[in-house]
Amino acid sequence: MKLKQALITAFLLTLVGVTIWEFYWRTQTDYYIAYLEDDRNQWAEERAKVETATSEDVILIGMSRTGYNLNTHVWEATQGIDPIKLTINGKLPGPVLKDVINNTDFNGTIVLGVVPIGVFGSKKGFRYRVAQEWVDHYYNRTNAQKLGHILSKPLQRNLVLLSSSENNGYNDLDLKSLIKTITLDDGRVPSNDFKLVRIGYNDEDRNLIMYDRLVDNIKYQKEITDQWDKALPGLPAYSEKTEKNVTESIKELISLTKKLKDRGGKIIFIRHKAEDGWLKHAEKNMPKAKAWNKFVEQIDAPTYHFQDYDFMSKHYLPDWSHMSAKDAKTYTKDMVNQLIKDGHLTKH
Amino acid sequence: MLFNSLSFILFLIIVLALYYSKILNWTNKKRMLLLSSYVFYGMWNPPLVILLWISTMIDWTAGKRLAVEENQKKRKMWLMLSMFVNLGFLGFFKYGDFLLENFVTIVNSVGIDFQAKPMDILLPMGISFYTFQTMSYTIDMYKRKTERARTFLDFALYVTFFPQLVAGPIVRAKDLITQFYEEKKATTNQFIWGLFLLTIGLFQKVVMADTLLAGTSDDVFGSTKLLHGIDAWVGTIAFSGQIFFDFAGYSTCAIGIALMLGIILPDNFKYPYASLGFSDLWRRWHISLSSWLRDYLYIPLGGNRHGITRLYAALMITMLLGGLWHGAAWTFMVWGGLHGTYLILERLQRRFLPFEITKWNGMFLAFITFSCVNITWVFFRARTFEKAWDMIKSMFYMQTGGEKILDTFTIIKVTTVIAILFLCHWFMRNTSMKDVSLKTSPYVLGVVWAIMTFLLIIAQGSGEQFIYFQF
Repeated sequence: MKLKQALITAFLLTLVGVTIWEFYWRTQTDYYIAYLEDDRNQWAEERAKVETATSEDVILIGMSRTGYNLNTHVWEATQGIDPIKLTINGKLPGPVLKDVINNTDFNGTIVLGVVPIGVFGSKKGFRYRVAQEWVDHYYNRTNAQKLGHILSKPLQRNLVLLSSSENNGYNDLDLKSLIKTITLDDGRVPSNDFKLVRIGYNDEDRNLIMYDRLVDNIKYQKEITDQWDKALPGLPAYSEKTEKNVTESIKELISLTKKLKDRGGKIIFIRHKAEDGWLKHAEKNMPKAKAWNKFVEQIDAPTYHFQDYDFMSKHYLPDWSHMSAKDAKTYTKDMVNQLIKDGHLTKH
Repeated sequence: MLFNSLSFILFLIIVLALYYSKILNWTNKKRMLLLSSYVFYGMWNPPLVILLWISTMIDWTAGKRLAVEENQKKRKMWLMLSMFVNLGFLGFFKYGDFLLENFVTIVNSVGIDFQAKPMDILLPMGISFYTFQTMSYTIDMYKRKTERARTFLDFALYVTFFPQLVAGPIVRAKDLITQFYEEKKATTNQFIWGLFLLTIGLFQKVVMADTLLAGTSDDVFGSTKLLHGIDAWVGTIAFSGQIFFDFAGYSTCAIGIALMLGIILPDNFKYPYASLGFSDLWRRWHISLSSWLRDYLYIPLGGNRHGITRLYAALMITMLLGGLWHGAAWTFMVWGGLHGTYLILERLQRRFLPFEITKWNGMFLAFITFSCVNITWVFFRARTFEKAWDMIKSMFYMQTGGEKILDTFTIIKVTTVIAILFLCHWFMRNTSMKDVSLKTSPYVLGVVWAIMTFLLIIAQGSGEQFIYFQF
């Protein structure tokens, strides 16, 4: 058997194939760059910092809006503290908040980004479960997984072909995602035409950064907002069930806040800006008067709503939901200065 | 550590570099392999290496005494000690909660109000595999069917050898320990063939099982709705393919890695989905377990030596316990029971309705066998009886109006993959990959190898565990 020839042939063809594949995707610069993907391993590394955090430290918790809008480098430059960023893109913040308050003795400051549907909504769905899985991963990850993550870093930093995420963007490059793009719309099941491509990437401190293509190109913005237009009308209108969820969530947040404050910690709630379709449908699902206002009345902690502050509402959101990288920097600086001015943070 | 992970690639490179370096003599190479095997296992959960050590120490001591002891009572005592420790570990770690749950159900059913909190015991990875492997040594020593391991190092390496430690093949002492006595080094062809097998195994796991089939199977078995018949069948055959590619993939990797070290492990799968009947199936599926069950359970239960009734009882008990080996749940028992029933029916057919298998009816028979096997997978995969029964109802249209959850492309994708799998097994059933590769041009082999490697790379496996790790 001439296995050497087979091996050499396989090696050369694989090398050629992978090189062509990589260079092809590198030409798609509007959509793809090589970077270290923010996954549950990266989150767990950040979560580990909480174990040694002091009362001076700040933890940012929330969903993608906190991920995109609050930049830790600007935060550090403004306040003098490098915040621990525990946001999870597209997943609910509840499990993370509960983990930090119930499973650690952290007594610094927590800044929680509030997306009403994510914070006051049901705790039963996929987005809550996955967030809990990320928390569990921090406790259960094996040494092999830790080593695997370390080894994957240089590959992820340098290869565009590894562009895929746990959020399953429609344009991810792993084989499973590529196959998923093939559909035969013959009506057997309702077609899933929600095809949200990724709107940004992240730096290694887990700051989400919007792709440049979205900043001022209407074509690319529409590519995203068209998807929101398909998905958001499906949000149910405010109902008795929603009210029950809101009441229970507020009760839980009051209890967690008390627990944190009792040990000397602080928590600040921030409602970031949303506009157009996102604002309209989120308002239908969870009206400000019935969720946020009710929450503000009951919670014993500082709250910030974008409609109450000019600096919070002045920025344009290319995809109706998140800020561009440039605006995020200004927004973060203004936000931190406001918190310092109001006495909720100390400048170092 | 998973074979489909970057940490394993680094681990393997280091092990191979040390193994083929000139700085270590054979004894030190074996020590290095043993240490590496503990690292391999400990990278998952370090404290559980202690269980491996205990199992190794007990069985080494028992084997040593069984080799010299002539007093039959004492010999039996040493065998019992080994069985007690190994089955005790298995019973506590794997079946603790299951036994407790059933105990609570029984006492509640007789009117005693008793509740117990689940113990939530962590299942040590691969415990069913290494306990069976090490027990085979002491049983064979007791029966004087194998020689005592020459050194403790050889024995410890036999128990712990990393390629097959956590999911088999379950290797007998006489087949593996003896290979450690003389220095082993793979020939160039063996090394490359081992690398090829490793690629095929990873391809089966990452591309075929995880990428092409797992999603469909998870969607169908995760659904709480009563499904349309087509969806239920497609989900079931998707699982059928997934579990084959997942488990055969692991075995192929294990055999390939061992071969790269010059160690030969036995085949664990021989194109099982083209089996002609169920006896044939068990000679082709998880061969190392079925031969273990045959030698250490079925034959001691009487096998075919004590009449028909005893034979059927032995078959059924063996298959029921084989089902329980896979997992601590009644659904696994049903899976085993169905296989036991199939085996009994096949014996009855051979006795009362014998027919000759020709090349014309063979494929049909293989298809019938494969279809019957698919029905058993429903109980293997479903987490509850309710779900399994809903699936069976959907598959046989005992209830109409089921929900459609799979899109047409998914149905085409899964049925195509499974049809190709079935045909491959059919055409390969009397040959082997090695034989086919000998008849294939090395350049064609290289192209196939490159396609598999390319797909493996772009699949970007997310480090999904192998299904059999949970057993």
